[in-house]
Amino acid sequence: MTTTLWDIAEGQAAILTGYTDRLEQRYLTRLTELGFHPGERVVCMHAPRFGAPRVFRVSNSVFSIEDTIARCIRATRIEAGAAAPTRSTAKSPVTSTVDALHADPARTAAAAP
Amino acid sequence: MTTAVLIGSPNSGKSLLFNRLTGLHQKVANFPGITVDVTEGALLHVPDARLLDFPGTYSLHAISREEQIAVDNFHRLMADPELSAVLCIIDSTRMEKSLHFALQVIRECHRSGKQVVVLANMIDVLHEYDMNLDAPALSARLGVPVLPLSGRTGEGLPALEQALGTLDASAAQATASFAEASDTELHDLAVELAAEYGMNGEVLVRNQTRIDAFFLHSVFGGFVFVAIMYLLFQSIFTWAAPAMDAIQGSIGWLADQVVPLIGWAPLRDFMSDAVFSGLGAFLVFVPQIFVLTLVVGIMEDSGYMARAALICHRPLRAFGLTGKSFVPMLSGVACAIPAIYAARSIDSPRKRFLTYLAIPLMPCSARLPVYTLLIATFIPADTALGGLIGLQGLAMFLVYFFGMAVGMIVTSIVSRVTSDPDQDLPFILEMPPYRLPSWRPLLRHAWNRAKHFITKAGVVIFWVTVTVWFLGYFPNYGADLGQSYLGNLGRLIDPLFQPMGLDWRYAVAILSSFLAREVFVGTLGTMFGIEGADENFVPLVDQIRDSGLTIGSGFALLVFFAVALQCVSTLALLRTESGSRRLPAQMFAAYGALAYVLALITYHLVNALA
Repeated sequence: MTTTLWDIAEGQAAILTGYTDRLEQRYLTRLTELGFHPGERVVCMHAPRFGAPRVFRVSNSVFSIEDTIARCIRATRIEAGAAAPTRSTAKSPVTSTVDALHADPARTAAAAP
Repeated sequence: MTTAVLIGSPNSGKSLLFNRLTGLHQKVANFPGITVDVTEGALLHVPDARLLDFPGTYSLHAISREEQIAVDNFHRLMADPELSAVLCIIDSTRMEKSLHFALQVIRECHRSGKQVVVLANMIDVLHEYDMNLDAPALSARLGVPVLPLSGRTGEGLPALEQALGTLDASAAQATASFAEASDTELHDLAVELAAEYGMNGEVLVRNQTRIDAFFLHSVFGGFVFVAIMYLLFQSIFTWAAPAMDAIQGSIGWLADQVVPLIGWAPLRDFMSDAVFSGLGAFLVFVPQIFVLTLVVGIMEDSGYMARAALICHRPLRAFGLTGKSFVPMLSGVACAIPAIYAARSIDSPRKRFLTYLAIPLMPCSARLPVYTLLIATFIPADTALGGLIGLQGLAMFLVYFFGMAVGMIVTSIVSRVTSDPDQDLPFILEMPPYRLPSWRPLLRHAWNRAKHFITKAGVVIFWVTVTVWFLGYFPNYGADLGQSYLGNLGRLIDPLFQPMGLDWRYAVAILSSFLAREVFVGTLGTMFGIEGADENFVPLVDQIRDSGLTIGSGFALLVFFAVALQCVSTLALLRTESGSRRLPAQMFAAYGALAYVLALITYHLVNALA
């Protein structure tokens, strides 16, 4: 079920599905750079009371995020007992970017100082 | 001369590595617009080479104006022909986040033709968990050297120093594969490489989660927070006290040795009252700055600071502040000077500005002698509720609370009526793993902070001290403060204070308290012909009572001192820390006007009720 990151209970995992329109582009960019990108698995590590920012693990990093931002991140809960998607160690569906970059002589030549 | 720059994201261990490479012998480099330090140091084991330590940043895509200044400076540096190489530090235990930034840096280096070396830090943590990093393979994928090392243990540093010794600014990178890569391509690559070369973080995060379960617990976490904040407060008040006493004692001793040797009376008085007192007036803050910087550094290094910010964020957000504002504001209850330094840890420029607004309204210890004098004069030493509540203690509590409340109201209003989204950042805070602090860099950092205060703010404070001395000493050579230029100035502004029942003597005392609030008591004593009033209040209390000052005027003075920003040290430091002359000037004028209006209202209100 799709919800927002803020609604993920403590100890629960979710898959990020996207962002709401309310999230400013610059914050979206920063969140993506920190690892909060669609398809990533996130776990709510702590949900302190009284509306305090919640603590989420993404990849090997842990961040606390306040409600105004967490409510702008869409996520789908991974139900208990369901096989949690794990990150593949194989190359991503995106063509192995580094190989593609290295193999492109035109780019290399164009960018040479 | 070989010049390299060290760049990396926060919590990647950059500063520790920098300190190891430069042996802590560093100075603050001059970069326009950056409020955090850019330090520069000579490399210990590489002759004729220097290293710049750039502020930690998550990205080369700025999301605030201040970040943009840092990024612009980075680009400027990349265009500098003197720059030989960029050392990009990544956290081997948190690859994805680190690699994303590293790839941005590599792209910029390729575009500028600069050499780049990726430093895979915290390799010791990987070894603790019997893991390793395939650096040659990662290096082959990135097309740049990758050196695994540990800033903590020193592992891998000889290889880095050897590499630095062979750097040449004129040798441009041969490969330029990433120069045209898009952000999306870099992002996908970071994800892919992190999956391939990053460690399994389950074990790493497990310990952190366990400790967080305690520190962020709704009940225990609160107790621990209060205990740690109590320790921090104690550190400013109690631990710094012996050093403060020693500084004052030493300056007093030096004055006793030097002053009697001077024959000409005006010069003798100048040395005694302006030079030595002026030195004492700002050097006395140095131990507090040192101790608070050290304690805050321990909290940051250990990882607790991020947890404390989380705990405080929600209540402070209601007043336009952030959780990171709490420590500076609490420090402000002891003294605004170290508190303003502590506000450096606030990454959002707007929240830092709002915290600057709140700090001078925290009831600092310099206000205590003024409050004590006025409360002793106007509040009877009676008790209520069967001796449970002392009226003087209650009054002290109320005036302390009043200052804090005004601070919260001010930030609340300013945050709502002004808006500057380019300077604001949301609360997205990395929770770093818990670590034992590294003492030497912390001590060095605290010392550098104290030195910064002496060299930057000290000069302004000293000259203001000399000016006030001149006004109080001439034209009658210190014979009568009432007949001095300062006394005349007091009479000139007397009409301002008459509406709240205060005569020119109080105006003079208020003017002199601009040096330090507690000077008000001593000056008022002098005006009433009592020597040593700052040591013993009682004769001055009797004199004020006998002078017929009303309780309304007394309360008005209390309110005035709770709000007015008449502290030259605070203003001087605000100027250096904010990088703006306007901010301290505006704060001085605004808080002066607010204090005056509130004092006037209090005067009429209390007199009407009394």
